[in-house]
Amino acid sequence: MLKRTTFIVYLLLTILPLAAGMVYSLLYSLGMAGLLGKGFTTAHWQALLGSHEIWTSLAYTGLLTVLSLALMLAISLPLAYGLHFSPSGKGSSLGLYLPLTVPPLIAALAWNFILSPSGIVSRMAYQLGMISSMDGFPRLVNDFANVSILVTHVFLLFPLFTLVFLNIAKKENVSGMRDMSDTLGATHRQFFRKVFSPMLLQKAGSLLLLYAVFLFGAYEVPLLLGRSSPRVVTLIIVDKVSKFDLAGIPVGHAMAVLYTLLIGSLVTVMIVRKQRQSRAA
Amino acid sequence: MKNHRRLHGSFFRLGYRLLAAVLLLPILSLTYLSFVQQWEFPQLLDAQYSLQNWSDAFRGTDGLIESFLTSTVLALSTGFIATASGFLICRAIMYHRHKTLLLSLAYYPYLIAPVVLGVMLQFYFIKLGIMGTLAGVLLAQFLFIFPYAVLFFAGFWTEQTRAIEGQATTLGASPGQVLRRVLVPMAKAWLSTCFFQCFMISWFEFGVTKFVGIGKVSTLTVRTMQYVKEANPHVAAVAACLMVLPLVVFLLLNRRFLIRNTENHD
Repeated sequence: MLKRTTFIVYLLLTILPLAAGMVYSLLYSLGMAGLLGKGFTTAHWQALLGSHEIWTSLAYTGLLTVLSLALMLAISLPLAYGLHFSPSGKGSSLGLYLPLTVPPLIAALAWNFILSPSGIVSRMAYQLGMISSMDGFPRLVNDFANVSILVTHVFLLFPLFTLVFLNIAKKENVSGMRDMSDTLGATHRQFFRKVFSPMLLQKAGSLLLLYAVFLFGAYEVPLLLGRSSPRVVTLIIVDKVSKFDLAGIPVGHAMAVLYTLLIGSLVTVMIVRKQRQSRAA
Repeated sequence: MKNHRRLHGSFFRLGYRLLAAVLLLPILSLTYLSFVQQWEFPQLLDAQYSLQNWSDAFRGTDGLIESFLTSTVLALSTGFIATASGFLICRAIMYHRHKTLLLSLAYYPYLIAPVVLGVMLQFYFIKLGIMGTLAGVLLAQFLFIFPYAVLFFAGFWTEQTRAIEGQATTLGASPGQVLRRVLVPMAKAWLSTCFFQCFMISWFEFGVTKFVGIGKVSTLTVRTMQYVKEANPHVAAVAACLMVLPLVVFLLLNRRFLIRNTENHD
């Protein structure tokens, strides 16, 4: 009896809220709930799927996610390699814990202070005589290339992944592997490219996918550092649902359903992958 | 060859120092900003230093102390409830024959962006009359922090734990005694790490807190964003420091709490 109650509580706390939320948003988007609900209609879904803004936003959010992860890996993998094999490096990883104490919103705020035209880097450039006014400083915040968003994401992620990679490298006896590859005549660069990186990426695959999902749902960093167009998916959803334009609310709910289905599929892929891995092990 | 290695070593050392600077720069710059006033371009270090922003914060004129307390109460409550319920419910899941399937369910609410979950649940929160209340924000945060706690404890409830539990029961311990005298002491490190992780997720949260709290539940993150919008970067920097510095002190005391349960996702 107690067991049954526990499962009911578990389902009530995990799946029920999500399912209830999805059902309400779906009904709202189909005109069957909410202030504008006047009976079944697919007009809001047609508006959503025919909207250039939505597809651009999905592509833009995906691109930001992929670029953030790629840049993070470009730093984390060589850093983990360097720290693992450097005799002085093993003890110097305390600094890597520092960004773990910084919330995304505060990281975005800090990088805004650092990279904006009136920020620290711009002032340093002025002091060094590289620019004559703040107008001469390139736009790195709310900019076309999303420099500040990428910098903030990388700042938040690369220390964590470096620590994870160091942990995996230790568990998998990477030092022994390199000794063996040395004996077989491989250079250290070849070892890094053909053994170290692929092995770590494979071992941390699920975690990478997990963080891809987190980045796809990022809200605070793009809110503070992003451009007004295109915007990430979460910003569009919140804007449409909470702005005074009532006509936008059903489209916002449709977008929320679309986003949840997309993330749900990704999570399912991740779970299946994990199960296959544990079965193989 | 020796010269090449020395050059390589110097290159790495330079790289580490550069990265150390990148890691320190955001926190240092926020701390610096909290101690200066009227910091106009192109001033860099020749600013007007003052304790005014901090003394205003501690006098409570900016509402920062109130926000600090709200964040603390919210994070402590969410952390405690999620850890306790996650610990017990995870046990039932991990001892079930369909444990993999049941555990997988926890990933879905945990990975959906909290703010989107808040948008979809807004109707129910209004019906329950908890929009704009601390209870509403607590519930909204709990809905994605609790699944995290369940996933976290999956590594604790192993066959070995089950065997120890069985042994204690065979020796005559009641279920309550097994929990109090065997399981809780065994899981002490797990419980404290999970509590700290859940505390941090709640402490860092902005999107759903703002959406469900509709500005009435003013946590430190919400207050910080308000100062940013009001173009008040110095007070925003004080708020940011109030959020980060206690955690940095905690990091220096014990870094184990800061790493999430990454082993589970390897």
